[in-house]
Formats: sequence, structure tokens, C-alpha cells
Amino acid sequence: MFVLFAIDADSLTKHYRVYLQPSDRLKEMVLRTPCHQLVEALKGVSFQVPAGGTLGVIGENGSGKSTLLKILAGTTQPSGGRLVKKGRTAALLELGSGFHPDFSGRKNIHLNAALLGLNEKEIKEKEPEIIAFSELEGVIDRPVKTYSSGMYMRLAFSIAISVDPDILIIDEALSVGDQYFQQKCIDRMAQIRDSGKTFLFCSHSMYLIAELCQKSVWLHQGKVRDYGDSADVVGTYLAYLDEKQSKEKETSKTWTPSPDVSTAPEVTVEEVFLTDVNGVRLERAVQFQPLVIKVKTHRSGPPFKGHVGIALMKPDEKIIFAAMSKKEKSEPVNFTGEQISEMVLPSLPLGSGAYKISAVISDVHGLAAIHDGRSDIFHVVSEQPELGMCWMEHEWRLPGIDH
Amino acid sequence: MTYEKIMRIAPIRKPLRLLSLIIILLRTWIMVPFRFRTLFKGFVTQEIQGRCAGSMGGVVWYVLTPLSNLCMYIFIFSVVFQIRMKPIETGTDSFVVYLLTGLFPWLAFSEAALNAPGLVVAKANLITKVLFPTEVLPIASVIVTYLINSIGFILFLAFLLFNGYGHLMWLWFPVVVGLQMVFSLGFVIWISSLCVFIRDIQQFIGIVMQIWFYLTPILFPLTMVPERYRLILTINPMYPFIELYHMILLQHQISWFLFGYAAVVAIFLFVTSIIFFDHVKTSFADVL
Repeated sequence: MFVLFAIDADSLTKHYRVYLQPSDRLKEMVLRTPCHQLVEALKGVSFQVPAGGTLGVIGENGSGKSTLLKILAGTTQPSGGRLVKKGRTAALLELGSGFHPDFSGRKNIHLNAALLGLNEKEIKEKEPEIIAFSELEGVIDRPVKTYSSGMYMRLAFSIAISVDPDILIIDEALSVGDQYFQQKCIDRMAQIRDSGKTFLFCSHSMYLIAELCQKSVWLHQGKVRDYGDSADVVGTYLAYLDEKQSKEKETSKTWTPSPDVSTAPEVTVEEVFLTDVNGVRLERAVQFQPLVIKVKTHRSGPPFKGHVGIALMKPDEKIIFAAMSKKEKSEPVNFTGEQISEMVLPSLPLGSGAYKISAVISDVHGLAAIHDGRSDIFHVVSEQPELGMCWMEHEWRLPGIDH
Repeated sequence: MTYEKIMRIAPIRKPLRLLSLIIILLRTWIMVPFRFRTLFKGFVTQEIQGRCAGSMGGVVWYVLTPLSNLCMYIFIFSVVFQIRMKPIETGTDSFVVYLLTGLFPWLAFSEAALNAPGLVVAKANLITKVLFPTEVLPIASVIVTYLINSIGFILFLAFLLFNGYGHLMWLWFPVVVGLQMVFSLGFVIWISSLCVFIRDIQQFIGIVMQIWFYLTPILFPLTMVPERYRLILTINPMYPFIELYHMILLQHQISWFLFGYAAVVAIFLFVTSIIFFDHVKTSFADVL
């Protein structure tokens, strides 16, 4: 059978039996009655990684990332589903597992490389390379218990990447180490990726995921919530996190001042929403596409002169851009009855993520705010690889490259 | 990775016949130290050096501990109780010679057994994070224990040879040692894998080994035991091994009944242990 994929995971599931007391396990074995609570870490996860492909795994804590990587590394068996892997796998689930603290760095290289499946000849060949990459030449014959955690990690990482695997699995391994060595590791990982190796990477650093992986899978409560190009998945994941954060902020506001009836606003903002140029309502906007922000206002009583202000902001209310209809010599708006004011953005410059809009009605001088309203949170989808809240026109001038 | 290939053969999904399962497992266990010799060698050196790393005395402690015990036994049984051996029954009139013949093999077994509970549990970090053949753990531990304990025994054998105990029957001796290693390995595999699920074994094993020692005819010949208690001592699975050493080395004869007894016990324990190990090893990572 010709296998196109280096990793083909088909509805992987993993249950853990959690026993409240160790003796419950024995009781269950002997009495054959269940005495455990079932924890579902993975509930049917499917994805494919083509040979030479790179996959980022993202998700919150407890979403099943580590379990998935453990299954891929082979240290634990899935409870259900099918996993096909092609080629030698090296997994870096935890740096330095298997190091013997009393042994020298050199000796630990031999032990650890043997654990990862190298034979004696290969280890001999690679030893100088490992030591050189780790930059521990001076201390390699000291017991590793005398190493700092950074040195420890450098040695472990150097060994792991020396295995020259077909499939490399890395779990949040770069959290230690100084900036310089981190960069060195990233360069090395990019090199491994470019040499056509299959590469799986799990991190909380969205920058690294977007940088190193073509595709990403977002795990949420043991299920695949999103799978696709890294930029998209990272975008929606970040949007989700933003939303979650702002929701938490909202629910934490337990006390809100009751509106003062005597000073009821002259004009109220009824609704703030988005449409495309044809007036069709949007819940998700596309970068560089035209966007119309609409503010529905209501005035009961005689016409009222004032202005409209609109602010684009992140869900945490940080303003990205705000504009007021009051400009020099411009006529004030005449508010009467139900009306809709529009702001047209011919090409939306926002980057992928979650945003919201705030609209405010001010008096004729643009000084006192009369009433304001918020839109629902909306998402922007971007196809650009750049990250951040908005896209900026740019041009590179790099040393040593003619323009 | 070659290990994964073996793994693919080893976990039996469909209920194969027991015999073919046993053959596959036996092949796996015999192949593992050869196929993963780098890893195996690594674990063996780690065991040997790791046991003495950090302490100044190092290997000296492995000689001193049994030596102090030995002096104590000699004092109590030779000096205080003044036990003399009957050469017709035991082949020697020296209590010390009789004692050492049984004590050295016992120490090797008992040390292996006492180390067993920690074998898998202590490597929890490794087992959950790295894929490697866990089979090497008990094998390496048993081999290292026997290697360390063989130093004293070889010296003792030289002493026996020098004192004219040598005989062609001695050729049976390595065969019995081999059987005892198979027995120990089976025991260690059982204990080390059971201990993952029942941690109490760690505390329990010390008591068991102590009682077991006194129930084995090492400090005394079986003939000294009152007739009605002898059955209890002969049911003891270590009894045929120790008794065989006495017969081969001192009396220069072999009992086929005892040899068969020892072989059956060793092979039964080993085969059941590898079936159990294979059954539970996939859940090691989940439980640890």
C-alpha cells in the first residue's frame, strides 16, 4: 500500500481511568466492577500530515495536546482509532528525561541517544556534532547535576535533533534557554523542516507556530476545533482567546450603575452592526475588503443636532482607530426618529483576530458624549502571513541584498 | 524504529493460541538485549555505576554488607551454637562452607528481588516520555545483580577448589545458576510490573524476603528440621536451587527430581511473568 501521509490519524480517542484511591484499581481487578471515573482526553481526533509537512498543535491547557503527542510518540496507546506513522520518530516530549544526574554530559549523550534508538556507531559519529551544537565543550565531562537548567536543556535538545528522524515531535521544548539558544533551535528546526522531514510542533507561542508550521490543528476539549493553514487557525484561536478574556471581564463586572432617569439621553444608539457594500449583514469581515459600519440611532422628540463617533477596538476595549463625524466646518447631524449613520472603510486594514466597535453620539461641539453603544464581537479573516492587529504597507531594505 | 516493528508483532489483538503467544514473547525477550544492545549496555553500565555513584565507598559497600552478615552468622552458628555438619549428609564438616554454598546464590536472588519494585516505577519519567523496550529494565537489573554477586562466589569457588572439593559434577553448577537466573528474572518481572499497580509491594517485599530466607535451608540442613515441618520447606521454590548447589558442589551428586523441580518452577514463573508483563506494559505509561 502506498502511503502518502507520514502521519495519518483517524478518529483517535484516549480515555484515562482515574481512580480516587490506589486500592480501587485492585478492587476493580478482583471484583470486576467498575470503580473508576472515566476521563476522555481525546474524543476522536483525525488529521493527516503529508511526508515533509509541518503541523502545529495548539490549544488551551488540558485540551489534549500532550496526550495527542504522547500517542504520536508511541509512549501511550490510543483507546480507539487508528494511527499510521511512516518513518523513524523522535519525540522531545520533555527535555532531559532519562538523564542520570550523576553521570557526565558525555555519558548521558550515549545513554540518551541509545534510548532514542541510535546504535553505538551512530552515536560515536554524532557525539562531536552534539557537543558542538550544545556549546558545552568545556563542561561535557562534568556530572549533569552540576549543569544549569539551560545547559541541561541545550544538551537534551542537541541530542534529540541529532537523531535525524523522519518525524520529529517537539512539545513546548523551547521554554527554557536564553534568547540566543532559542533562536539557534528555531533555526535548526526550520532547517529540519526545509530538509523535507515531517515535523510536529506544539507550543503556546503563536508566533513560532505561524513561523514554523504550514498547517495547524487546534484542539479544544479533546476535539479538533479547527484545522487548516497555520495563519488562519492561529487567527481564529487568538480571536477565541480574546473573546474568552473579554467575556471574563464582563462577568467580573458585578456592579453597574443604574441609568439616571432624569438625564435620559436625547439620542440613543440602538444598534451597531456591520454590512458589506450591498447592505448584507456580516459577522466576519475579510481583510482588504470594503466594510460598512452602521450605527442605528433613535431620537424621540424634536430634531437634535450632534455628531457620531466610531471606534474600532479589541474586545478588551483597547482602541485601534477612532474617528468623529465632526470636522472643520462640517455640518452637524440632524437626529430625528430612527436613522442609520454609516462609516465606509473601502479596504479593511485589520489583521486576523477579534474586534468590536463602539459608537458614540456627541453634542454639536463634539465635547459631551450623549449615548454610546457597542457592536457584537466580530472576526477578521486574513490571508496575509503577517501578525498583529493591523496590516501595514511595508517594504524591506536588507543588508547585502540589492533592491 | 526497530522497536516499533517488534511492538507490532507483540501486542496480540485477536486471541491467538496461548502457545504461539508464548513463542512470540520468548523470542521478543531473548532478542531484546541483542537487538537493542547499545541501550542494553547503557542500562547495564548505568545500573553498575549508578549504584555506587555519589558514594565514596562505591563497590566496597557491596562487599562489606554481605561480609558483615557472614561474620554474624558464623559467630552465632559456629561459635555460639557450635553447629557441626555431618559429612555423610552434607559433604562437609565445616559450617562456613555449607553456609556460603547456599548463601551466595541466595543473596543474588534476594538482591534482585529487593530491587524489583523500583525498576519500572523509578523510571516513570522515562516510560511516559520516551518510547523504548521496557523489557530491558528487568533483564539488565537481574544480570547486573548476578554479576556483582558473582565476584564473591568465584572467590569462594576458588577456595573450595584449593581445598580439594573440585569435581566433574561441578559442570552442572552453571546450569543450575542459569535456571536460577531465569527464576529470578520471572520473579523480578512479576514484582516490577505488579508494583506499578500496587505500590505497597515495595514495603511488603522486604518482609517476604526475610521470612523466605529463614524458610530456605541455607543456615541449616533440611535434616535438622523436624519431620513434620519439612514439607513446608520443600514447597518453597528456592529450596531445589539451594539444595542443588549443596549437592553438586559438596556431595558431587545431582538429584534429577530436584533438578526437574527447579526447572519447572523457573520456566513456569518466567513464562507467566512475560505474559503478564506483555498484558500490562501498554498501560504503564497511563498509570505512572
